[in-house]
Amino acid sequence: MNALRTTLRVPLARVALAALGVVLLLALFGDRLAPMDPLAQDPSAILHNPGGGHLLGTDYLGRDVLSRLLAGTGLSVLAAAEAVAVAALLGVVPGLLSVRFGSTGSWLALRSVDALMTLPFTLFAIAAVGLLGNGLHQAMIALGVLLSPLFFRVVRAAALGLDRAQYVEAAELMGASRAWILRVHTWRKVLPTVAVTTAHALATSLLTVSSLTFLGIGVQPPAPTWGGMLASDLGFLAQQPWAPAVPTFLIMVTIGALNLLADVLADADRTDTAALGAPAGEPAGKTSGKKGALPTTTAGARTAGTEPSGGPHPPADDAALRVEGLHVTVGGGRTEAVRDVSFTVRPGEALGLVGESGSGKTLTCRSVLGLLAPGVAVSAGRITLGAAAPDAASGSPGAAEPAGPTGPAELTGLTDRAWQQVRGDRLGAVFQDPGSYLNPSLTVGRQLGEPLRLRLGLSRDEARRRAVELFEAVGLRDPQTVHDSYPHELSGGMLQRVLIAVAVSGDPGLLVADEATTALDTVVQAEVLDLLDGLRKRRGLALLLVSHDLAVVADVCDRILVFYAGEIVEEGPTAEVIARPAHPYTEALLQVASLGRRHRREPAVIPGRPPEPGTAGPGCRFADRCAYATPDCTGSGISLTPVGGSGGDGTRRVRCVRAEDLALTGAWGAGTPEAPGTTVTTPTAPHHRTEAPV
Amino acid sequence: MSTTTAPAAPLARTDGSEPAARPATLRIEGLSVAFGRTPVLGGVDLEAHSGEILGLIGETGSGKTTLARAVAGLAPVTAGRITVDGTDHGALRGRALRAARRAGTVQYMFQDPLRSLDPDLTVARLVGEPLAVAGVPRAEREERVREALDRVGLDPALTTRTPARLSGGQRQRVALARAVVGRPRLLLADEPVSALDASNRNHVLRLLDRLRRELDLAVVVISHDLDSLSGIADRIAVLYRGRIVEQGPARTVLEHPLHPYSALLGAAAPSLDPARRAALELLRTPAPGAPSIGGQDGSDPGGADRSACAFAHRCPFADQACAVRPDPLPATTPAGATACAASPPPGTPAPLPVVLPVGAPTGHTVACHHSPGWRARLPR
Repeated sequence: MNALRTTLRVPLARVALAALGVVLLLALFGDRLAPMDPLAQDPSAILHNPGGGHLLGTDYLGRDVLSRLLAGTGLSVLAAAEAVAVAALLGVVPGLLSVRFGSTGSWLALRSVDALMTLPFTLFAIAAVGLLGNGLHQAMIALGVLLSPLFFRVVRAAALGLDRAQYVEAAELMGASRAWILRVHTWRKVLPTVAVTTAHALATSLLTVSSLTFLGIGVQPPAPTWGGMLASDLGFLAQQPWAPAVPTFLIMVTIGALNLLADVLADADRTDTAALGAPAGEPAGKTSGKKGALPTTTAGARTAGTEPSGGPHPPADDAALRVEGLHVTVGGGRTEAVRDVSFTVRPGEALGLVGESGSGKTLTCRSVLGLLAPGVAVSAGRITLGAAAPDAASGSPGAAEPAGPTGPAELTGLTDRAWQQVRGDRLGAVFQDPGSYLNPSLTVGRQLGEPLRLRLGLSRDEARRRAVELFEAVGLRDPQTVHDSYPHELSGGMLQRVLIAVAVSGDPGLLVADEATTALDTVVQAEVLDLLDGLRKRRGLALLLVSHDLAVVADVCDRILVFYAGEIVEEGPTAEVIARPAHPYTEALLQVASLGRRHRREPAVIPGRPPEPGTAGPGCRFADRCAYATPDCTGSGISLTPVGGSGGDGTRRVRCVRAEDLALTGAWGAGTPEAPGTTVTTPTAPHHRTEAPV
Repeated sequence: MSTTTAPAAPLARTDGSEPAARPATLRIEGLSVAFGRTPVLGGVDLEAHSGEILGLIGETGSGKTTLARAVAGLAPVTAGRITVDGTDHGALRGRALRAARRAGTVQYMFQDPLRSLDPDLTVARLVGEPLAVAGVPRAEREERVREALDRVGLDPALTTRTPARLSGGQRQRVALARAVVGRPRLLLADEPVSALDASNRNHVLRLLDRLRRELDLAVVVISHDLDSLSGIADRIAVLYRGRIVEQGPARTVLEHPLHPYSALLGAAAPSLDPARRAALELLRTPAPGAPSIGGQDGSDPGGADRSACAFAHRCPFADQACAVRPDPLPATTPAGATACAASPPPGTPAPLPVVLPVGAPTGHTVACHHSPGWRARLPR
């Protein structure tokens, strides 16, 4: 099992397992290891301190403490195990089946369990023993019954979740029987939960066995058990502290080890589930993502509604974001997933990052946001956020000056605290699944307004007014109603607008949209893209847009970065790149992208797969899938070089040795001259297309 | 070529490329589905033929997933018939339902293979599970699993992997292999490509295109993305709020939609086409005189039983005529000849669509009072 393997990697778990191993050995062979007869009394050596043949001294009847301790382990541990076995049997099986009990059956089962849980262990065991006769097994069965709700509840909870799992539904669609589903699909998923519960239950029952023997229930003197020793020797603590102290210590160590193991097992299980649940390419980072998506606000935040159009546009050389030589490693630094990525985004500019999954575009974007998953790190490079946009166009001239620093900010190596500041004020972000970034139990207005109040000291009414203004600015109809709505009352498109409002509430210079419209319907997607474009134009906001859909990027972005296998392979103005790609991979991407082509055709594919991170050779990483590859391509490293013929201002770069002699096919077909005006909206030769789709 | 004039009559074979002689593999008549008191589908008529890909498009909440789930027996059908190869599938219960499921005639492919494939099972077991459930002996099972994996182009070396250790495209292939391993007649694929990047998306689309030919399979592909369907679908049905507002040959529906909602979907898809901008602006601005029905933002899915045209509150061409729900009628004009049709002045009751019997493409139906007249108002 994966969980077990993960568990063994944790050092504390190894310590716990070692301790438990020793206890198990003692339980099995303790009586044979005992140096003396644990029952033999020696009236001449009563309550002796350690020494003279008695390593741990003697008790009040002159019995050897060490021998009693060793011999007593078996009974104590096995008794606890018996109780847990009974509990597991009584809990797991009904727990699994209870999912199918029907409402009456479930109600009965749950109420019985509730009743059982109200009974105190010790009293119930005393009563059971009174009824069934005093004996270890009677006591343990009683204990097992009382512990069974522990198993029942966790197993039922797990099984309920599993019963709604899609693979269970899929199995039902195959005509699988209930027994099949339990055996093939459910059982294995419940096991980690059962293991965790078992460890907890063992600890509880060991403690209870000890206290029961302490009360004289279950094991009868003179048979040695840890609890029994504690009971009998506690009265002589002053004369011989070793006799009660040592069993106490053993009980503590065992229970501690069991609880520790249970915790590690539970963690391992969670990690496993998380790893499985996260779609490839965007692992974890969710918890910290929430921080990023709910930025706080600076003083001087402008109200969007009063914004004059065509806000300030600082000089072009003053980049909103500059990334230099970024390297990102995954797997705890072992594998390089992003190599030498450099680019800038100017204020008011929209830059698109495109590429297949695993191309490094998402990692690059998450590095900028400081939201890399554990084990993923920026290993080299600089990420610099430009100076905050001057507040000249502020609609509220009396507003206080921004509290935070406004100069360029270096983002690599920031502390969590500093990150929060940056994310709130300078950097906004929206992601694919807006619902998961909002607290379901608070109204969206409050989630936008609270940070405003906190940071700006606004009154409740002022915060509300500003929140409503922001909601209006992001195109939410009826912003007052939206303000008082809970996330579940809003559609996906509306939630994404709310998150955009949150992201721009701090008036950031840069907005990062990571697959922000991927999950939305086409019509809503078009609206949200329009909104982003509008915000960019109105507020001079720089936009970093990551999408797997080339058409989306082409629709919104001024410039494109094409990623392949962790590297930038081409960079340039959107219209140029699309009309005349310089890298064979870009050409291939243009062939496979839909870009609004609606005629019947065989969908084009790029043969082969990109290299796994860390396995790429020294040369071009696309070479083995490239139709134009020559031996030169794989020899040595290929740098990103400016490509001629487009002014050579360094904005058009390509990583291909054959860039100059290849005539690649663009979106409008082969051999198309450069589109005049270099904007996407004036294609020169749409001969490639059939009639307009509408 | 015959023209259907009765509004509710089942559709004839649409493509024109094949005669309408073969009976439909899937035939849905008057299907209604409701969750509790919330109607999700209202009176859907649809057919899918073997060897044909039917695209089903619509926004979230339009009922397209529910439609497919109803066919698979996973949704509460309140009215209507679902027949697959002549057998009434909607009427199956208990043992008969389980037997039919084990036979594997109808396969439903869930949207997200990461959730519909058990994370603990290997590829070999996942693909072989339907056969194992049906009691196919182990030796034959292995052979057929190998064949299915080969069919979807999956490397046999991957059979020992679990879903978490596959790429998105590979996982979708596993789901496909599992769907075809039982030699189905009908495959319902729910958003099979929405989570994939362009190249992988096209891989899967090509695969669907090949499988329906190799296995003579009727395929229903659900998507909200017109572009992914346009390459492979033969026919397209557009679903809005639980009703089919337009259906017909893929090319006609995509390039000359006769329902404003179909046109809106087409114009909203990201595209390099500059012309779509103006069309999009027009199509997403509701008419001022439109009857006020339903919530904004398409957020109210409960439109299936309303008496008005469900799209009216969002429609740029809506007027008082739209307060009556339109029936799906055969398309009234050959594609491309829409410019000459006069648009009624806003505010006046529009005449019901004129049925032009001559030359009309068969099987293209549309539920709109103003079709095809509204097309004249599109920006040229």
